[in-house]
Amino acid sequence: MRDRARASAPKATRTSDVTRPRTLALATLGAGAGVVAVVAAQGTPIATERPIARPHAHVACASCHSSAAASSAATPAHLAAACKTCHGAAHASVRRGHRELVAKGELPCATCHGQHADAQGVTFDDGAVVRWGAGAEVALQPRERGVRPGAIARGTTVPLVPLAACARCHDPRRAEDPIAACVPSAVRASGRDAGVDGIASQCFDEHRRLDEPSPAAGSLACAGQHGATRFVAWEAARDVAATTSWVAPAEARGVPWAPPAGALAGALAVGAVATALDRRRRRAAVTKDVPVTPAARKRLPTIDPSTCLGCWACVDACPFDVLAVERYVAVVARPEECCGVGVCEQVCPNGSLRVEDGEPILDRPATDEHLESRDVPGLFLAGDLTGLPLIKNAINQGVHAVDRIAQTLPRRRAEPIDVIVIGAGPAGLSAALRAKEKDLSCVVLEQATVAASIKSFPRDKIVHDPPLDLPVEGELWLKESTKEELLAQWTRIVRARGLDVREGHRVIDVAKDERGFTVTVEHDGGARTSRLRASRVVLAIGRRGTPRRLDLEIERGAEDRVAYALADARSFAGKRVVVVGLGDSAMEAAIALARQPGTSVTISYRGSRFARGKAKNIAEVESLVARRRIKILFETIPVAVTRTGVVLAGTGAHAGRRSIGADAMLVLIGGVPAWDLLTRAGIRRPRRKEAGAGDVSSGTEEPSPG
Amino acid sequence: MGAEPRVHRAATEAWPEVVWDVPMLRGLDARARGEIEAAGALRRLRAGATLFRTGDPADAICVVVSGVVSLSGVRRGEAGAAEIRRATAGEVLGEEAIVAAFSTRRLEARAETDAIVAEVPIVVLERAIGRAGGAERMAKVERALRRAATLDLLRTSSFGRSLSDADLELLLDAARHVHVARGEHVYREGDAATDAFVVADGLLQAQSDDDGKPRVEAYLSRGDLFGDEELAEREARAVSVVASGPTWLVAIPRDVFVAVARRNRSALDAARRLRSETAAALRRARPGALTTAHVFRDLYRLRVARSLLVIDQDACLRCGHCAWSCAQAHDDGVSRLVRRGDEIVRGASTGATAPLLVPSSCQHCKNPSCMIGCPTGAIGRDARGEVFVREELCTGCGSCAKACPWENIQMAPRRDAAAYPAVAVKCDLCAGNAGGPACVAACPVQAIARIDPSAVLDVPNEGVRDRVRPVLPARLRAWPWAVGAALASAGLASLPSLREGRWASGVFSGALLVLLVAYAIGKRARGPLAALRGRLPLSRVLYVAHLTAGVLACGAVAAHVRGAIPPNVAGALTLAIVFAAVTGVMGAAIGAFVPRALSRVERKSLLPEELATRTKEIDEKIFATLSGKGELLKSLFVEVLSPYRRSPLGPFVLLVSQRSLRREEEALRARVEARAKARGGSRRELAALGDLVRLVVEHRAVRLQRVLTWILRGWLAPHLAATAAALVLLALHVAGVSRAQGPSTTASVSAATSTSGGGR
Repeated sequence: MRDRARASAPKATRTSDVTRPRTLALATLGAGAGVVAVVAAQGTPIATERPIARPHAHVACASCHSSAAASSAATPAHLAAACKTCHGAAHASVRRGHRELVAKGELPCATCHGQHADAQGVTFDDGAVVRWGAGAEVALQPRERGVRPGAIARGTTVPLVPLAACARCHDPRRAEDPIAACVPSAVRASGRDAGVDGIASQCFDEHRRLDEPSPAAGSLACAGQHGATRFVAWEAARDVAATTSWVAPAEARGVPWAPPAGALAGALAVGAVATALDRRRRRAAVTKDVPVTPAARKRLPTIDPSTCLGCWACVDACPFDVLAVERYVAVVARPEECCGVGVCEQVCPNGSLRVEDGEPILDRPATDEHLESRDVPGLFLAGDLTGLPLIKNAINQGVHAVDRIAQTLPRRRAEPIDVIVIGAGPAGLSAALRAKEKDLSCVVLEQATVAASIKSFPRDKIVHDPPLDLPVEGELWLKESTKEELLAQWTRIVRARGLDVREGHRVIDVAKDERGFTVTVEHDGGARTSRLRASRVVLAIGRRGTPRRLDLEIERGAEDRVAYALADARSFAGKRVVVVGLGDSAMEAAIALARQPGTSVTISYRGSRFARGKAKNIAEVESLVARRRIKILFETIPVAVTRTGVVLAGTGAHAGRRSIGADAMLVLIGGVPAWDLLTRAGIRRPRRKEAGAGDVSSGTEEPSPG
Repeated sequence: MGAEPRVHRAATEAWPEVVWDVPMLRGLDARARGEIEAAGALRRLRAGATLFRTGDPADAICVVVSGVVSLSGVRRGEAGAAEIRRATAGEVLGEEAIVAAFSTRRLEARAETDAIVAEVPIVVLERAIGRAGGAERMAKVERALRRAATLDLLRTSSFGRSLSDADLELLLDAARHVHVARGEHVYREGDAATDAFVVADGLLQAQSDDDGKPRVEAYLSRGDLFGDEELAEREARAVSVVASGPTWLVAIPRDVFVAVARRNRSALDAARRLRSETAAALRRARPGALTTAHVFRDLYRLRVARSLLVIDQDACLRCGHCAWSCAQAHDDGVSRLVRRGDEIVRGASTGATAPLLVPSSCQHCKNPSCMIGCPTGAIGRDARGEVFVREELCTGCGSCAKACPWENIQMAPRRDAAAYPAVAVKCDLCAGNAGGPACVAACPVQAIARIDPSAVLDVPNEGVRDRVRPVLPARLRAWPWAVGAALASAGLASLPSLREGRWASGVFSGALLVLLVAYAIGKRARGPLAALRGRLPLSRVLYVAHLTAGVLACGAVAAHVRGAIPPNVAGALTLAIVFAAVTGVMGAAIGAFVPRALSRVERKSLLPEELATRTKEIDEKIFATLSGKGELLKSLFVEVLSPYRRSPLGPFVLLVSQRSLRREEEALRARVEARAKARGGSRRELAALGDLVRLVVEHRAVRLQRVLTWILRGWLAPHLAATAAALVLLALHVAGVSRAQGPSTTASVSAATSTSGGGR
């Protein structure tokens, strides 16, 4: 009655859509801060200031421009009044015409003495003569200009009146004009159309005649300007004006790019930091405690039926179909498959499911929390071998073991190789990758080819992706990938990273001495053996070991009809195939074969019913049997393979031999764990008998001897 | 949920004993009764009042406490309604709830006298009985309920409506109930015919094999008879039948069916005639205007959706405002809307097509899968059919989230640290928000809308409508405003009074600048402004106003600065404004043209952060597809497809060529096949070529998608930075100018002309 669409419930995530406005807001604030910082650091003028003549460089704008008196004249009267506050009212013109205009208020100071664009003048300092414009200065050598230092009082300033100012009323080119004497002869000589811009008047006696005596030195601030040497200064200034060019007012100092650029930089910096923090938080959200070592005791879920909601959360979470829901309450349906990782406990919403420790698990090598063997220090184990299943866990364990090795390895390398990894499965490859990262020299020895155990999965099988939130370390894991995708990725990584993986190298012995390990390897099909020395060894040989074989009579010429792994179901299209076994791998192979067009599949199994396997596989096989795509022969064992078929011997009620026609036989009855190599390496094999006797201190519980 | 009558009640009155005396409820313990009372309801009806109507949610069984209730309905193939049966005190009605969990009512129930009816939610009932009496008891109750419901169903089905009671009984005795999950086959082409089926609830597709791809022959829905034609002659099945969604069937074994059918030739003919008529209607409907192409892919989704959220990908700016505003609208800050999902194609009346994205957001199914598995009855439906989650009952077990076929429910951490750490969240249509769904109100281009697909899209089997409404509401056009503003802006810039009076133009530009910035706040407003959302597309209006004000501001600023950029804050301000204006205009142009280009190359809508890994995923798929293939295919890949995939200018070429992805695939495929032909490759060797071509084209398309998405979203950051800079510089400028002006600046406007100017 249930549509089980998904194994795990999608979690609410913060997508970039949701986080972006915050990042943008922060970046915007950063832009504002960037502007303020640049303006403050660079001293960008805030008001709308204009370049001003040197004598007034330190006068605030407001001293002249503060008056609010309304006037529509081009040169407001309040500016004239402002001049008098410092210079006094005594600067009457010596010329009557000008004096009358001043009295009427039509000729304010600024007409001739503009302080912004039109300003021009000469200042005599101690060692130098400075000719200046508004906001700009040119220093001249006094000697070149024929001015004797000391002849003029220090700091004497002579303003130059531009002819352009006079030209507003006068015509400087007419000889009969009253100002003719003030106009340089070159100007008069030039045609009518020539301009007067950039030419200074040559008269300096507007306010005081040459023959007037100098005023008595008083307490006026400007007394220094009006001393006896004033006339000398005039002469010198006229000379300077005639020989040097007009000083252009200070131009805008370029375009103010800095503040907008500061805004961009600020926005970029803050935005980048916010994005990085966001990413880190997202990553931190998925990081949890990762199981690295398997539990020491058999762990089994127990369910309180009075509080269980029957919500399926645990059932969906279990990677091995241990749990089921019956009568709206979860039950442990297949305790023997339980891996004890405890995902079910994590997902149970109200705590009615608890994973509790049971009897100790003994049939596996003893390791400490860093996966180092308790029997042989320096020998590490990783992957399925440790008793913790799942590819993801194997990848984590490989990384973990090498991290530990990198920590504990003495700085002086005594052996040619730091780490030898035995087995190129998920654990072995991740260990090798990590060793590469940690700059350890590493050799991977593999009896078959890279990830042979995964290669033997039926084609396109989805590599089980249990709903564990493990942060998988390394790059080996692909979410929801098929076997082909995973294999392609791994092969590429091995090639791209230049891992030293020696395929077809079968390890036959691992011997430990006080300095390190000697690993004996058989290669070239067993024709040659060689020895390798290494400081540390990582055993990642998995549990598959070598496939368990049947004791078969094989007719000559029928050898290639027996296979122990299904590589590609498509190659069996249209053939008659006998699959031996009814475990998960056998069922998955049979399902894949039955989907091929024209393939007839017969399963031979020595038991009398489905004994184990995932519920999904059993249901699929049963439905295929019902649709007559698969035939199951219970209580049979194959005894011989001929060139035309397979001979099956019946057990139990169906004793007796019978022969069925077949083109191929696939034996998938599990594997023999490689305990042989483990014991030779010095790992003690815990005895089942001891477990039966309830001796909890043996095997996994015991600290390493000596 | 605010105004709805079915809010969760904390305290409930005890129910009268007559309810518990009904056979199926007899002997329930106190815990079970308490659970049922908490989740159920006692309804008092006046004579003539309706208990439920056809199409109402059917998630409860009704027990009549007092009074008389009559059931009536339209039989399939008939025009008018007829009374089916009457229920009095102690009797049960609405048993169809057990047949198809959470379907809708087929019949109408009306109180003939004043009546009291107890509503027993079916999920809670099943659990209560299952716990108290075990599976046997539940099975018995279920059998009884199913029988009653099946009788009602057969009486209204196309085949059973004219059968005699004796024949109906015969069918009932033999009937089996079959549940088929979404995507499962009822039977496949070539299977042996053993049963005839009547659809109790759900939707199925009859498919035939069309060169490896399924072709839909007919849709089957409630009340339809199928699988009968092959029975008489014991033929193999001619077509396959697949469930489009969770489906409940009544299977009638061959022998019984053939015997009954022989006696009722006319009834069978009528049923077959009806079926062939609908099949003909389906064939007719296929190429019609506004017919949606997806209809043939996932009709189920459109059929069950009551309120479907769609985004017009041709207009969508990918700004994510919808998802963001959703997160803002809910206290826990979790967005119920994820902007990823299937894309469907709607035909426009002009003949062109436009893609609509159906994002992950609850569509308030008529037949919600999420409710089926909820162990505490925390998911309910209100009178209008809106599906809601009662957070106080939710245990966070996630079964609803797993059951939803479209990932529309997510598990979020619970805010209050109550007993359960997680809670299921999904779209609640912004219940309690006067302005309607926040996502719809927040869209600046009016590209998102909640629609009722059966009313808007042309869905087959729903009858032909005279006029199909446009899918999305008419959009407020931006360009007339922008053009008008540009003209006004040019006028402003040349207006003598503005050019002379620095103060007037300055104050005007400053005010416009502040207005432009206020747009960002207006969009997020909650107070009185937000109340307007229901009545007008606020975000769109604000967007157009922002655009208009921006163009006007350009003119005002031009009049104010008169082409000068002085080396001070004023100049920097000018630069910042120019930069903001340029990026803004760019953004508007991007928004007008890029979405269309992007939607053309989108096969599937993905979030920007997913695009980055997508190319890698495609690469993996390419290598997986290539592995184990022949030499010819591999060499063709290396010579043609691999360079195509890698070409750095590829995305640009795809953009410029204006080709749709399908055209691009066809062109590329033709190129490869021409090469293959020259080498004498056989068809079989090229079997996987189609997949490879699709993958490499998608690879190129995804790269283009990344670039375009980046452009669509990228211009905003510099625009905002420039705006922030302008705002800060404006403050400094105003401070600087007023300081230079002294304390009393307001009196004089023209007197200040010469003082506030830049360097000339």
